Amino acid sequence: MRKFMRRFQFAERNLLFILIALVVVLSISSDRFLSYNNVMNLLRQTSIIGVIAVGMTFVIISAGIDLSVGSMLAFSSILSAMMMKSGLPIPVAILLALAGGTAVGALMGVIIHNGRVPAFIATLGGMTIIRAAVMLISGANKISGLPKEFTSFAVAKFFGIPGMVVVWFLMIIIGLFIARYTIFGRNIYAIGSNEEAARLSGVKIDLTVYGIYAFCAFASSIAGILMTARLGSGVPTSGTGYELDVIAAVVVGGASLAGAVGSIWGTVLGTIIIATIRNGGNLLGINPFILDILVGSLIVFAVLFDQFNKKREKRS
Amino acid sequence: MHKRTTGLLMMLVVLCMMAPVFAGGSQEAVETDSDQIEIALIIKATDSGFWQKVIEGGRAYDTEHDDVNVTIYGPASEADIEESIGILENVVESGPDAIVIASNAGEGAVPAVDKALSMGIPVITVDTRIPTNVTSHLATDNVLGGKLAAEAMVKHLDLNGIKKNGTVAIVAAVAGVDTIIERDNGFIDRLRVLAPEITILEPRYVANDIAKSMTTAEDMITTYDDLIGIYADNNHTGDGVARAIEQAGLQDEVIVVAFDDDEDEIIALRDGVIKTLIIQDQFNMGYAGCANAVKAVRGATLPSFIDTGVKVTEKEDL
Repeated sequence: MRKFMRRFQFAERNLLFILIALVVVLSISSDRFLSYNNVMNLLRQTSIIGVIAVGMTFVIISAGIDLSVGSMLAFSSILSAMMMKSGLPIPVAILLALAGGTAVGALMGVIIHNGRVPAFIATLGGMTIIRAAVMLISGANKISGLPKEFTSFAVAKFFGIPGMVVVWFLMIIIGLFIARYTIFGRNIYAIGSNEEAARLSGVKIDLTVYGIYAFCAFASSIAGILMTARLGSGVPTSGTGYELDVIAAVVVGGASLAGAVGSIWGTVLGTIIIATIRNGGNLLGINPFILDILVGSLIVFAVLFDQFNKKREKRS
Repeated sequence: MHKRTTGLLMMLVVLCMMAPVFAGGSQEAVETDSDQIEIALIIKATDSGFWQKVIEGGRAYDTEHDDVNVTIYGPASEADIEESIGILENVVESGPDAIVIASNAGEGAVPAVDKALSMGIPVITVDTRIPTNVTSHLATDNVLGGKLAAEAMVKHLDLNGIKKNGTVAIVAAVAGVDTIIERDNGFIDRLRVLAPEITILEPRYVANDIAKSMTTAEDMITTYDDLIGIYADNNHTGDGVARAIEQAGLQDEVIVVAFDDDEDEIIALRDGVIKTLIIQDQFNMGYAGCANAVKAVRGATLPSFIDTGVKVTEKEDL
């Protein structure tokens, strides 16, 4: 166990090193990289993926996967937009959309645990069904003309930090708290390490699994609200393909798809590293397709590195 | 017993899932009058505002002409390419007097279209080409649309007193699609002639994603101090770019010109964030499509390409 803890701090230290190296290189090659505006831009653009990645981290630590996050984002986006447009007060619309999303997430947990459907399949189905439902209820049209008090949140600032980024930071704090100070958090690692052993040692597997998927759906729903504010309208196709970006951020952050390994800090660093590569590339005018090749390689190298470490540890 | 109940339940579930398929496949009732000219209007998707306007055009032609009957066909989503081929095959089988079709199927639609042509049924493509010898093709002249966008940009640079020696960016919807490439090239070629001092950046592709368009525009603003204009070549890129410019409060320093006219774009035009919209005439694609189909049925020879026209729309035109 101690070795295991040490290894993951090791991974985090490496990530921090990569990030610092990136920042140094980029700030030398572009004088605007470290400007206040660009840093806030970068954080704002990252916050939506970042919020979902916190939820996804727990799913992946439990040796699960959630492919429905992008659809779930659109679900809460369209739901909240439609309710606001129908005249419901803004906080009510947001709360109902969050509750709706979280409930669907819990339902997926039930299907995965009680139905013994592999998480990949259950959430793949969920991804398709939820996206189709979103298209159906919105008529595949954008929901525009939302109240200005709501859409202005996208540019609102608290002590100079954009509101969307503040939400992301809050989400990180919640994630850290769950991982470090709750039984739920410890149980997630236990399930990811060995579900049978966890069950034998008295972990309530069912409640934990429901909680994991409900929390991930909750995070995706928050991201959906942020997206609605940012775009100024509910867009039924928004979030398409985000599951891959989110999983990439978590994996680069050192989490293992085999479960039990991963951390919120790792995920935060992974998210920021990927966003920094894209942002820096844009500033330097590097062809975006080349940036995609870089990000793709980073994902593969992160796992290669992880495997290499495991082997070395086994040998020693 | 238990097994049988489960089996029945499964069947019920499957039937319920199939129901929309049966329901979705139905078309509008066709009045079968042999004197009437039967036109089949096949569109790419029923779920989009763009195609709804094409349908409106077809319906309007139908109501105005007693001797013509227009029947609308189409899959629910543009992604249902296979279903759209099936619909086309069924339509050809039913033997209408003419077919007006917009299809994403490309090569896939060729056998059915060739069969219709060999049966003597005129086939007119609208919006998107099908690679075979169709009777005629009706669409927006995208190169011209791009040129008009460049002219609009220069006009507004002058109106706002911005020097024409800065940088202009292009936020492009998708890579590798002819209509988009034509729009961008038309813009680039014309802008080079009108304002040779301007640096035009390579188009940035955003996978038709509004959020990505917005992010790209934000990064452009940060990167290029001398950014004086952004050209967005469809509705989603227009939405994203407009939102970024609005939030940065740069509407009088960075001139935005965009294609299409969805609700958010119109709002942005009204607020002065987008200076000019190049609006396609979808209604006319449906209307003129049917009108030309009737001409072909009556024996006229149609030109191979018919421009449905674009409208250059400014705030004052709203």
